[in-house]
Amino acid sequence: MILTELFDEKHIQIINDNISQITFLENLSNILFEEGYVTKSYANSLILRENQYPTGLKVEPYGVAIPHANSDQVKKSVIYVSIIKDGMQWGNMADLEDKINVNIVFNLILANDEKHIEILQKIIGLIQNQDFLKNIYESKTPKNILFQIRKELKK
Amino acid sequence: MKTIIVCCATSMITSSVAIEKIQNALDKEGLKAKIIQCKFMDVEGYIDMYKPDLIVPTGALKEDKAHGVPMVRGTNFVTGVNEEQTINKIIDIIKK
Repeated sequence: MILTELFDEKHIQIINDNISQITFLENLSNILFEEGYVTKSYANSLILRENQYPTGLKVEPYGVAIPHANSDQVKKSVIYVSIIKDGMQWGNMADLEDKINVNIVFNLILANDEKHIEILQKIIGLIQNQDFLKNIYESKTPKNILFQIRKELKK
Repeated sequence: MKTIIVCCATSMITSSVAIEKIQNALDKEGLKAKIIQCKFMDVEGYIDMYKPDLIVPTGALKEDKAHGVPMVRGTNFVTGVNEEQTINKIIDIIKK
């Protein structure tokens, strides 16, 4: 699948409430399960994985996380983007002892047949672009976030 | 030839990205190394098997899992922050 097709407006959310990381991951997994993207056990493996090996990345100007679980539990690929306005405590991928404040989450829900490396490399490109991170954090609507993502991926 | 184990948590995604960057850097320097990819849970077994000279985990692999083998954290390959510094550390160990 072409990378831009992995993003859609329905799977972009702006969170203004103060929720815990576990609630966040559970809610998201439940939605994806109901929509047929993942298996029922996806939530557990995603949460377990974050616990053991967190995916929070210390980048500027906003911390980013890229949670992803084993492809075996994925039926259909999608990238779920969440903007967390007040930030969320997240484990640092580089250091188990460290917590970072994450405002932007790219949940990579990738089936076995996707070109994982290519996709991640593109996502890494996005994460490293400070202007892009600022633009999507400040976007008022999922529609605008999607527009920013598509614009950036076209470059 | 030196051996490098590049590993990540479960899905082999971030380690694949790291391997590509390490391989490019080695090629640029005209260096050759054997690169083994595995999951964190398999690292200890692979250390016994391959006796690596270096371990590059992309995530938070605990130090004691390396059994004394030098470790260079490869999370920078995902964030892009200080990537060159990480590459230089790896090259230094391979050149030794």
